[in-house]
Amino acid sequence: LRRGAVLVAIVIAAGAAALQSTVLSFLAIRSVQPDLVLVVVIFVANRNGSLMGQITGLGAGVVLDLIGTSPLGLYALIYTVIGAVFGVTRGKMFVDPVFMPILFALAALLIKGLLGLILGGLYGIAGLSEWILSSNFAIEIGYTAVLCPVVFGLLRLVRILRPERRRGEGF
Amino acid sequence: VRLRDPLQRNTSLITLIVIVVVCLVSLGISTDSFSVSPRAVGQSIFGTIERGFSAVGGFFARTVTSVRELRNLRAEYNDLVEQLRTSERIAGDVEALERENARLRDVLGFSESLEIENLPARVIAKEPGSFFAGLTINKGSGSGIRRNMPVVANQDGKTGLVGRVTDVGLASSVVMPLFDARSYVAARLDRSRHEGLVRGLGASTNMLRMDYVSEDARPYLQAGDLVITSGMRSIYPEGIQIGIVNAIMGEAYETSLRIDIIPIVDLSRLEYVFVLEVAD
Repeated sequence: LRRGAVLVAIVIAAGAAALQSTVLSFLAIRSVQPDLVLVVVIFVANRNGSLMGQITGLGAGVVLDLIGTSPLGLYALIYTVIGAVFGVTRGKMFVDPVFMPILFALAALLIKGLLGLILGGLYGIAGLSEWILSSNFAIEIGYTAVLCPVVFGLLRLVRILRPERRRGEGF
Repeated sequence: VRLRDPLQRNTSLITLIVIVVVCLVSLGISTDSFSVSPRAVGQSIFGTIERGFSAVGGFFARTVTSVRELRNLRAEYNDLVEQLRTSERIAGDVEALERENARLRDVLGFSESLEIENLPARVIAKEPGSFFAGLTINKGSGSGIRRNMPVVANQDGKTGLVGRVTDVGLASSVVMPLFDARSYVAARLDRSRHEGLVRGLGASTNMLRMDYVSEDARPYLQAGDLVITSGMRSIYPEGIQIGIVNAIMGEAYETSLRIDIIPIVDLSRLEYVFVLEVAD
């Protein structure tokens, strides 16, 4: 595990969270913003594997839990699971600049919605299932999917997030 | 032979010219009106040439002057455009500052007009996660903010309930809005005085619902009625506006009504709030 890379990934995710809470709230569609934090988590997981994906997801989720009104642990759990799941895709599929990021975002948001429904039901978190089953969630999915290739493109420029080549691994 | 040829060919013309000149001279002498002096002729010729040169020189001088003036005018024009832009920018800044000043005066005036001690605060961020819709304000425990303090706002001349403080940091706090599904407020219908419990319907609707209003209240209710806080065993003081009745629902066999309420305060355009200092 590359500690520096994990730290940078969490800082970028926290920056994305800050962006969502300030600047992007002005670009919200019907008060719905894209989930850039989630995009950062799936990018890091896909590039660096499950362990780094989980830790980045945990860090990003804790940041979201701490600066909002969500129950502590809700986003942390959801993003950790998503980080772990997308870490499995590392090196197993070719990620083109446009199509795969959109597909990743769609899949990640569906997992987020599913986990939200399960946790909302298990812990009786009021308003969670209503939000996920509302049209707002569909807007969030669409908005995030559209922005995902752009964010992936920007994150590709961050050298430290590039995967280390395993011994004997070629291009 | 070659030299003589032209003379021979133009003999008549040359002869005519000579005769004409001789006659003219003779005529001038004889009539004493021969006034053409060589000086005058020279003057005329040179005068004409001088006038020509003067005109050409003047033309070039004017052209050069015009080019220079044009260059100066262009520089002046660019300076003026820059000055105009600066003035427009300053005017825009002044306008923005005046608006900000007016807003802050409103905030200050409203803060002083509130009967309850309060702390004005500015909304600095909204919740980044999508499931909930908390607000972050720029005052924390350092300014005397505590958990569960009620938060109100003044919008379009009306004072409405925003929510309550749920988390407090040193220099910032998080406010849970009224429409959060975890929010409950003891409420009263202002006109009919019937009581009920207002809860949020979640961030997906931004609406409120009032439950536990007696079925007997139905004849006294109508859309547009004002809903206020009742202050009954609640963290919220009495008499703060919550919202306006939008729809009244409930079957005949049910003992209580369900009333949909539109909040007084539109959170999407909220800039300043007031945290009320109420006794614990």
